[in-house]
Amino acid sequence: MGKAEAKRKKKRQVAAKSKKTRKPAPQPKKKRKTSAQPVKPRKAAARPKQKLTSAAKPKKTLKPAARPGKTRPSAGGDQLIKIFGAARVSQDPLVLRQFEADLSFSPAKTPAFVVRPSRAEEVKALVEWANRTAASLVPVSSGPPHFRGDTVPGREGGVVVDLSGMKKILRLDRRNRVAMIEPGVTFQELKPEAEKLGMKLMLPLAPRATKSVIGSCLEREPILVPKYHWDMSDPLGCTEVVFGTGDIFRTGAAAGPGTLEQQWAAGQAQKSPLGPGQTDLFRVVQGAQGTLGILTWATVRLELLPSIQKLYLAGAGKVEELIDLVYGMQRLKLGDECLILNRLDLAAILETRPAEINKVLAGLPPYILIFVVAGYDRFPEERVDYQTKDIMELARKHGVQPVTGLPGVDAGKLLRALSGPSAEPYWKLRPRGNCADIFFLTTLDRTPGFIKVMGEVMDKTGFPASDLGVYIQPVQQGRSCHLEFSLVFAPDDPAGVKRARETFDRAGLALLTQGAFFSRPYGSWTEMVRRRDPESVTALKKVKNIFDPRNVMNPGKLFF
Amino acid sequence: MALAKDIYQQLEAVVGPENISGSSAVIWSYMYQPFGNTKGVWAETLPEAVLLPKSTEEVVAIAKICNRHHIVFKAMSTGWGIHNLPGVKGAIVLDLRRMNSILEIDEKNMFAVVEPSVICMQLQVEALRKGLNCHIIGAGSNTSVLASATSVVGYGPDGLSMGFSGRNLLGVEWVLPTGEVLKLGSLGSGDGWFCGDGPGPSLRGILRGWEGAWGGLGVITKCAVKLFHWPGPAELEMKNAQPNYTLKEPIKYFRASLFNFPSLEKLGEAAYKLGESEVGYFITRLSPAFVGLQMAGGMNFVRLWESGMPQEMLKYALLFVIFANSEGEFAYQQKVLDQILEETGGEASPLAETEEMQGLTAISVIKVDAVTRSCFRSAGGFNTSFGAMDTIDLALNQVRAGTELKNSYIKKGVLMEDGGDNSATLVFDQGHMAYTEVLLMYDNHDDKSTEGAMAYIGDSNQACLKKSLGTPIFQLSQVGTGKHGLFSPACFNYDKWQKEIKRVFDPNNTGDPTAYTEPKK
Repeated sequence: MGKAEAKRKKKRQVAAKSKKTRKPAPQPKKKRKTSAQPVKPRKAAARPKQKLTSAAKPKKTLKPAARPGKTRPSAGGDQLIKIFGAARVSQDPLVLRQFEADLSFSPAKTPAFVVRPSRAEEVKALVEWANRTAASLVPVSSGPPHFRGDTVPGREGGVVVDLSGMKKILRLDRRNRVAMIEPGVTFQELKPEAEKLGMKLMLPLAPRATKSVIGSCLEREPILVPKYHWDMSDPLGCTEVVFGTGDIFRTGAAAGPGTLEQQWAAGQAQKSPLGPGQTDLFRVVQGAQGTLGILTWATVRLELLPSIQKLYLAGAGKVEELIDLVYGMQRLKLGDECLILNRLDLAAILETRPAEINKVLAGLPPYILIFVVAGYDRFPEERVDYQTKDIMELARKHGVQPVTGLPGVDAGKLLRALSGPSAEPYWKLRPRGNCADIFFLTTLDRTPGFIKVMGEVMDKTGFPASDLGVYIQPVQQGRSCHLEFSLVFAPDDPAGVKRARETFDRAGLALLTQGAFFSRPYGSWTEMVRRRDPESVTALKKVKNIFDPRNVMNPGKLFF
Repeated sequence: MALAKDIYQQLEAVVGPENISGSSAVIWSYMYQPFGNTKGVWAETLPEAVLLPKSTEEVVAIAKICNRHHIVFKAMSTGWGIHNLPGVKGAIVLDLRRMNSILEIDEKNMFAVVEPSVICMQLQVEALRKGLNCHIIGAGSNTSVLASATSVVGYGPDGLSMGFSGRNLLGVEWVLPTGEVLKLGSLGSGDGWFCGDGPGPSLRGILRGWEGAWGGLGVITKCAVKLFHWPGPAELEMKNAQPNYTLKEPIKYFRASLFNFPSLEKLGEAAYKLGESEVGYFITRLSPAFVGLQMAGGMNFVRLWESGMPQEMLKYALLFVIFANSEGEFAYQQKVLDQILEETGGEASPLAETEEMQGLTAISVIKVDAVTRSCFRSAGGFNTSFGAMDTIDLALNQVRAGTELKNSYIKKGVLMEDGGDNSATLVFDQGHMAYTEVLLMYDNHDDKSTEGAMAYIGDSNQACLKKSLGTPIFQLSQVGTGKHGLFSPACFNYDKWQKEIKRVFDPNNTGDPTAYTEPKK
């Protein structure tokens, strides 16, 4: 461990003991107070009162940054106010503190400003300003808590671009099953609006209420219904992006010809993400952790809202007992939501308090396959009937017995939990107060091997097996899967934090060595990924040099 | 300008003397390219040599030699038009026909790893044996699987259930113009072929967009493509002879139907409803001329057309196939279909109901084997127009605009009479995306007809611009070096970024820029 790392580690341990610290996680209740509150769609964001009050005081906004850094823009405040107005530029230490750290192991760095754009032209002006002043911009679209370190400034003195106020649902199109939204629109906000028109929003697993839909798409988070995951980029459609050069660009069919209004008149709905021309630049922005550009709107695919849903569960002592059934279902496109959880993750999704979680998980088998059979507008019962019959036949073949309930599991409650954002507190924080996720892509048949590797690492580090969540999500219609290990730990237990950190680091490397594909490398994973695939990193640096030649976009993140 | 002797010898040392040729006879065998040609049937720019590499290592070695000597190279596989040949003088062709192996079929994870000259038919035959099938583009089952997924463009009528080629791409092995090898996605990390995206940003976005780089950005030597469940038999037994193959036995839970609708609007409504109801294996709107051309060629088509039968029976027709996994699914899909037909006024055409036609249609939709012959055998020349991808409504507006415009050229006597509406509308991802190609047949041995066809294409491009009907198929890559001139300014100057990509990934501009872009100076 280098000196710098030792210093950061010490800092984090000290931080865990102090209320004034940036790290680690505050208790969920405290977080709820500072979270952005749900707002009505189609209106500008209502910021938390505390933020509005402090941001509205011009004197504070003009003060030098609380913690000057190497790249702190000189006299930046005046220019930022010129772009955004005083009320949307903040240097209030309370506001800055909200962005200087998250719940990950990433080192804290304090931004110099937080700005809140409301439209693309402002974002463009901001990026151009950053290019002139060599300031660094850190785009953030979701509300807290954050978990992956990508929204923590990589350098001291950066400017956080808080997009959570861009909350317009620009268009909902039932005929073409698509929504056009700004980056601040959360799952909590878009879901009811889509449902009013009989459409279903594709969700990741119980996202936190403050999670941006676009943020989730940009991170290539897996969705729960594999049959709708045709391409790894789904459900993201067209985008409007401001590159690190300051150029505004539109990807996919939205690029033109014609304005959006003209395209709508011609029957278009910005559904095709492809192009324009011989590049798919939306793919380049996706997965970039804000290092190439800032999205100002995007379209996302929607699906029909089921009129009937029936949830089934199948327990197993070992995950391999369930894999072949999942393969079979995905191959035949049977069922809608389909995922495997271990008992900790399932209990944490169902219950909010640790005692209740422990009670539920005590009665559960180690692994549980969850799937939903749905009927839509046309003959819904008959659809559910034939699908159920076909699935049960497959299940018999593979020796699995799906049931409609397990001890302690209310199927209706679980279905509701899978159909929307997480209730508070966020389910990942419920068991112990904090959580470190290790996730990667692999194929379903390799998941048992990775679970074994994870167990071996935990044996070495002494991390309790009971504190490990496991989530397997088939993606690309079953051709691969997202495997996620969640290490839950108490943030106020230094020894526990240390153990979790050690397990996190060692497991990441062990899994990667065994063939885990870290397609979304955050924080400390980037270095090990760089070593594993240097050619891709070299190519990505060339791409970075095209779209953000002055490295103003989230410097210090990913490979840049 | 022939290749300098020492350069030729360096290239010969890589592939062996039997796999390189600069002889006029060999080179001219590549020059007959009627599709996409703006004049006649022969390509104008002769390459200096043709090489037949066998492996990635040989492609790398060739690229490095080309970089050292600033020689432009262009790869081709199954070669379906003039865009397969280099458009600059002094270039060489890499004919990848020796790289034609299916390297792997991962039955569980439903993908295949293929080399560039594996054709759809070859892959389909092997996949069916494992209960899987592959997406085949409309240009036919004789086309390269890899080319449509990575490098060119192409749509298939089975896209309803099997998606779009460019979106079916997984891991990729890519020899950059400099000779460096880049492996996309999980392959780059040594973890297998199952994913083409990441780590971090997806380099698939640089590799291709709505269409590929047409060999202008290096050579794709291997790729993995998605396969899809095949509920039918492991082998398809056929009777009769080409082009009238039919199935010996009907396939269980398979039913092809041709429906007529009272209007294009009603047809569109049915397509929307079928898509979102998640029923169907294959769907395509076929215009009367399109069907007629598949039924009869040359004078036979003229007679058929003049009888008025296709126009009468197939004015607004949809070919729809149910192919289910179980009796219950088949019954459910049929019931949904019947309900939608009732709502939209669709009526089954007796044309498709006979056992003979079921067998013919089954082969046609499974193997996608009818389009190519229908395109070339009527007037000799063939091209296409419109074709941007977005919604079903857009696709129908492309039909309307194309029909109106084309009829004005038919009246001038420069295009073949096909009612103007010689189009295929295809739907992808269970109705999420759609497009229409409007085909045109002309006499490519007649200057007036050829000039008329080119004028029509020019006007159709203008219609796309003026009516906001998207960027048209092929026109970006086939109409000379100014190809991006029309659409890039109307589409956020996308070519500016392509030029940058070309510059940084191909510093010596050795990948033929003709059908891609010139690097930024």
